[in-house]
Amino acid sequence: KVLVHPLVAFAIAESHQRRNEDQKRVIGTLTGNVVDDVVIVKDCFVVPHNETHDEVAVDMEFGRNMVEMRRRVNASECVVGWFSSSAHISEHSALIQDYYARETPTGVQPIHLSVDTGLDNDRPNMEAHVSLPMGTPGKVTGAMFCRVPCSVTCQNAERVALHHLQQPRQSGDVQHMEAACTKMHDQLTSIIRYVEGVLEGQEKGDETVGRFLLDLVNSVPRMEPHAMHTMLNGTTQDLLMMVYLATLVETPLILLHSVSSR
Amino acid sequence: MASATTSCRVDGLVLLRILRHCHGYTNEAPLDICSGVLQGMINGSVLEVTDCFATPMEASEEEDNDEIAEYSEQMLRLVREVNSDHVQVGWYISSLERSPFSRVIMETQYQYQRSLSHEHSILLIYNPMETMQGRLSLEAYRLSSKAMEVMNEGTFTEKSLQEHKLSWSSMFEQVPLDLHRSTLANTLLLELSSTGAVEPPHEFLTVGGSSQLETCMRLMMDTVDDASQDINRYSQFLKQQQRQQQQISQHKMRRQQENTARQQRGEAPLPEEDLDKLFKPMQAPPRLDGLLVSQQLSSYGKQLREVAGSNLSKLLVLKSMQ
Repeated sequence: KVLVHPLVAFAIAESHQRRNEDQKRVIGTLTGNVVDDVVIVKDCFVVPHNETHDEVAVDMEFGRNMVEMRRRVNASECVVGWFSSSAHISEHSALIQDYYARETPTGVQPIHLSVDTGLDNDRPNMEAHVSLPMGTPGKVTGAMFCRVPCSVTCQNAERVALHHLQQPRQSGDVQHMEAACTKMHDQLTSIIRYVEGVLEGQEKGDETVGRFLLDLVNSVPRMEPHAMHTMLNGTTQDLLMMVYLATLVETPLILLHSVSSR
Repeated sequence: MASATTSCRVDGLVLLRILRHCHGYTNEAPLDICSGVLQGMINGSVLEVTDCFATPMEASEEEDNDEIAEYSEQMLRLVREVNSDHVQVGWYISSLERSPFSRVIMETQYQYQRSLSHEHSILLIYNPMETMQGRLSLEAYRLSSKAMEVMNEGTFTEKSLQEHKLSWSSMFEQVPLDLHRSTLANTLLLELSSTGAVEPPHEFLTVGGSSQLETCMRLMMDTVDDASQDINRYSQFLKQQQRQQQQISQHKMRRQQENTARQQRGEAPLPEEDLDKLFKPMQAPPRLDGLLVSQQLSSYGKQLREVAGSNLSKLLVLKSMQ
């Protein structure tokens, strides 16, 4: 299984747009780590290469230098495979895959990630492949690229960043909260509709969903309204005090500024 | 100087890379110190930042700058081969515990802006704690032209500050920042959000951040201590200077009296003594730290108010649901 961070997808898209005029695709190295059987791809960089119909030349010295440099910043990064920015897998890919098998740490199969920047199906598709040997033993052997399930994973911070990137302009806090509240309201409405449907016998109840709902309801903390009020008031007072202190500190600064800039 | 850049456009990729660097490679805990170099180009009056890379932070202070400079040069040479912009347009730091407006940072930014090819360098400050709260905090700063003039002179006496009318708020000027995504990146975003691979963040509804508020308060208290120390030092200097002036004028008066007394008696007046040798002129303490401290305080105050404000509004919503 392969988990890809969104940074990788963006970097590949960006480098594809910057390729030389005669190149059809861009290739580069993927870095990350391997946890149990899952390969997590965290970053990538482009490696210059030349590809003609007959042969392919990849500047591996560059690749090795870059990995060295990257390792100076973060020692836990290691090469986990390579990417190409087109969905088409050519014969040269097998050669490149072979090479990367030598670069990755022992025991790890290099992953080949292909990002469909040509938008063949009107969607950019990301696929991961591993090379498996095939053929008749003892006689002709070859390798074939086999697909591996690949999905995108995010850290919390990345989700926030992606959400902000999606907004057409910088919106304020209140709009975000409003949007989040509306979304939660919609989700609750659909859950209620589903539960009512099951109760009336129109829909078949799913046990797993039912258990999730039970956990959800039980996870709301039970507090007496009085205690809740006290807690809310206390927190509001704390926050107001902080706002007051912050304004208090800023006042002499404003005075200083107006005095010294006359 | 060439026409100053009026705004700055940051690519989404740069944002993600900075995030990746500052939030740690292995787990989600934000790193304490991280900095890196921004690459890009200048397009008229807009500074475009198209890529960035992280620079290693070493423990030793002396070798720090050389190693980083050498690393940056090597990296820029390498990325040139892959058609990435190899012009350095600035640098970024993350401001977790330390304040971003310290002397070292100001001097580094000054060095950048002074070198001819990097006049338009900007400093991107990223605050990882705010991202945990659901808000994106990325700001671009540059030393104002007034600050550059004063730095060129080298001294930071009260007189030179008043000459240039430099106050704490006009030292660093903020450059308006714009997040940019290319069309291909937009399709990727659409794909990611439609397949549900990336859920929208739920931090907008959390009333958390008490740890962040505590950190902010603590830093603010320390900075207020620094500010009061600085003010004490300066007022002590002023008192001492006043005392010295009094002594000088007393000495002069005594001198004159003696001279008139001697003249009356018919003796030669005493030779003029070099006043400087008797009363050493005092060195004014540099005011740079005071300016920086004020800037830090102001930024903490602003941050505190924003976070507290947003928490308050969330609490109000919660209250209405009771």
